[in-house]
Amino acid sequence: MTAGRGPVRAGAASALALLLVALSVLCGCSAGSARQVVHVLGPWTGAAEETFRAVVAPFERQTGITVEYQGSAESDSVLADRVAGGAPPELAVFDSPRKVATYARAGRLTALDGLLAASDGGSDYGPGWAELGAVDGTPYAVPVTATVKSLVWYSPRSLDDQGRQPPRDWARLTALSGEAAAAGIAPWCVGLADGSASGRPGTDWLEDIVLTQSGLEVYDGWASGRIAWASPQIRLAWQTWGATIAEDRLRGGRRGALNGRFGDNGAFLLAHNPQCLLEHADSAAIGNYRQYNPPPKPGQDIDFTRFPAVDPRYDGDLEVAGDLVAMVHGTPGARRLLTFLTSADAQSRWVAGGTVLSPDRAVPPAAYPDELSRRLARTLLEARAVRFDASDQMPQELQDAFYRAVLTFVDDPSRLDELLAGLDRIAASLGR
Amino acid sequence: MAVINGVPAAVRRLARRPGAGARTGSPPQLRTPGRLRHAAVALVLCTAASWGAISLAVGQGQAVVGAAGSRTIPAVMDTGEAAYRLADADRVASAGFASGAAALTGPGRQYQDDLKSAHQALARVAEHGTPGAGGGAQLETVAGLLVEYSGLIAQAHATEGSEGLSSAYLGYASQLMHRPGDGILARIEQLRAGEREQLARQRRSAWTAPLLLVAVLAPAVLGLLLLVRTQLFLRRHFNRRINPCLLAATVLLATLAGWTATSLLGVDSAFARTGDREVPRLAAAWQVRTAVAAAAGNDTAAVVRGEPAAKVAAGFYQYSGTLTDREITSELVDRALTRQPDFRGALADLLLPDLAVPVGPGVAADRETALHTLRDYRAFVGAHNALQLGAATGRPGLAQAAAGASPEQLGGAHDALDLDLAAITDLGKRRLAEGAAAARPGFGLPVAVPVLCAAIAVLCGLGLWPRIEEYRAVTR
Repeated sequence: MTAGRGPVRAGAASALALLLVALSVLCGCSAGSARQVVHVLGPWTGAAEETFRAVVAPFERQTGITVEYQGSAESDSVLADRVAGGAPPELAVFDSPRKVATYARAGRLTALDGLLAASDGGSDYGPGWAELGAVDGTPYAVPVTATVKSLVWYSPRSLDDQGRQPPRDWARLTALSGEAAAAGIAPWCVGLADGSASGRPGTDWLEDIVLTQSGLEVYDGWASGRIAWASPQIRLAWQTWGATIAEDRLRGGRRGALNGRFGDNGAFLLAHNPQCLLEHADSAAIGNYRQYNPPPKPGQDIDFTRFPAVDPRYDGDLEVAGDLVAMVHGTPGARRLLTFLTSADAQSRWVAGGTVLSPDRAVPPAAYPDELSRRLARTLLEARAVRFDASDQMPQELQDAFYRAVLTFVDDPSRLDELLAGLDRIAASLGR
Repeated sequence: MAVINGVPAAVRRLARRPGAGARTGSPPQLRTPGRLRHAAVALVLCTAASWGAISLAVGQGQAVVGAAGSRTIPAVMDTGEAAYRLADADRVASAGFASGAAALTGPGRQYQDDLKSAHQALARVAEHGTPGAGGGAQLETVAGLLVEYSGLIAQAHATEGSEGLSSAYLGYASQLMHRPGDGILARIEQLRAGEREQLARQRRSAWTAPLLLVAVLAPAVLGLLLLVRTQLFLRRHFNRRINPCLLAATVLLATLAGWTATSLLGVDSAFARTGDREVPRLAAAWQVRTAVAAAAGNDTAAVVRGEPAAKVAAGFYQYSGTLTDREITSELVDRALTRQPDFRGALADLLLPDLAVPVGPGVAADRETALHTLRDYRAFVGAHNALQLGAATGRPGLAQAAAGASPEQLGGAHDALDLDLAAITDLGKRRLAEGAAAARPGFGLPVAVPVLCAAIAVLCGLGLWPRIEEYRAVTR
């Protein structure tokens, strides 16, 4: 009997150990499955993705909810595939209200009633921002980042060297352009190449001109399809732009503008021997400029002024853009994350990266990394009225046609009538 | 089963020297029948443990090698092929505009075939399943970008009458294809890097490591020692020179151990050869073809856009710079005829293994192909230099020089070089297939293990049972 006890004891001990291991594995599994995960699909990659991950890190720590972010430059098509495949992410990031409206009207989004009001971080969105994510009066998305489109960037050092002043009004802008061109210096750096969105940088010019030449009413009417492309106001805007970017006003001429890559102009603007004096670009351009070596000193090597109003009556109106987050698959965790993202705390973390602005007035100026960013934020929040990028409000087909029309116009401005008539035909075919 | 310090109690008892128990105060020494019974139990246990260990190791090894051979390695190759086809599609699109064929034929058959092959290769990658959470999303992104790319090329053709506009669209498409970091080719390269990392992980797997043999064969070695000791025990106590059944069991167990060692080491060696030599060489072949197509495409697109000579050169070397670290001179080619030429880069990685092989039967063809490739690469760079010179001096007929099919024109030089590289690619595929077949563990061992183990157990029983019965008879 004594001899048999050893094996029996060893067997019992082994069985007990196995049981404990199995129990611990089971506990581990059940603990893992209890952890909430919120999937977010968005267009942010690279530095923007890192910023987002840094923004949500405290949320994950505080709530125990894991945020699984998937960033893709093709997030629109990935989202369409996911939705069609029945596996949508809980939250999706859209770069235009029109896309939000498309999904909302298809019944693919969960309404966010009271979400901005419920934000426990004391958010205070500026006028017009909260309505950007509303479709037929129901909120479906909230803006989480903002950019100012109506900006002209310049190098104060270069202008000083030539004894010129920053162009703060339209008269000075046209004078500076003419004088520089006469002196053999191209005033403008324009790069229209941007992959499948080539031409988009030109649409921003046109939108700024429509906004500050004909006012909010015309802008809204044009963006929504009530005002025709061939209308006098829109035609005038194209003609004004055509005169501004005449062959001798562009670095490399029209062909240089067509082949130049959007985002590469900093090299010519900031060079020791600059090849141009001005660039029309949004507030996110500061991120591109910062990448040059040595990084330009804000206020000395690089600065901005608001795009001068063509008609002084419309001075103070601003074209903006931004990213909106919508709930595609409603869960309590997703709603908590959305509430967190619109809080002043999260917004402050977001703007600390220095490439995006916040539409939330509760974000303290100190949250921005430098004086230039703070001035950009002030420009956004002190605007008399803001209007979202018009091309982003248009149906996809019309937006694409607008981009292509810009390229064709730059190549051959004499085709303006043909282009406007073509855009009107496309708009009509889309029921606008 | 009572196990102390990893040694079964039955084995310990059998191994105990006579009288040792009395001296240490442990339980009294077992009598002969008891020791025989314990020996039988210990041998069966060792046999069962060998069965389990070998089956587990072979099964898991098969799983790892099978996953690498059926999924990871094809995915590495398919991403390589997709990148090459797309770079070539972009080159062909530009060549169509340079030659004027675009106006008549549109993008052309070659462009469509390239795109079709690329889509098929990417579909196979998706079928194999990409590693990590980001792989699937990356594939979706590439698919989306390819649609945009095709759209831009279509737009270039739609605006064919307007030179500035069509070349601009061509440029946008090329940018989308080649943009560092987030262009289509860069994203495919990221996918390929993920697959290669996965292959490296599989290579590092404990189930294919030679050290695993120590653990796998430990029960068999213990069993062999036990069989020898039992044989000696029987010789001392029963005056028998040899126990035939135990001898047969010993031979079978030794055979099993040897077979296992040979099989696992063979699989590991073949897997190492495939993963460390054949896969990188075939991947290098695709990489070189991609770079050559991209460099030729850059020149052609630059000519279509009317870019200055400096930009032509910068773009060409952006793609071909990784191929060689120096100019491929005629002296270097001559040196390759007799001994290994001295240069580095992706082209060297691809060609040097074949150029290093001494001339002899069976290898001459591979060596000849490598030499031919080196010569044609030199001609390709020469065609580029002529084109660049033409751009610098404003020589007319640049478009023809870029798209022309004669050997001294860039199009022809590219086609000749690509033909050589295609032959090397086919050779690499053949070598890889052979290596993969050798790395696949045979089905003989998994089938033989249970049969041999059962036979060993039966033989042990047959060898010891009559001796135990002898004692029982004496006792009765």
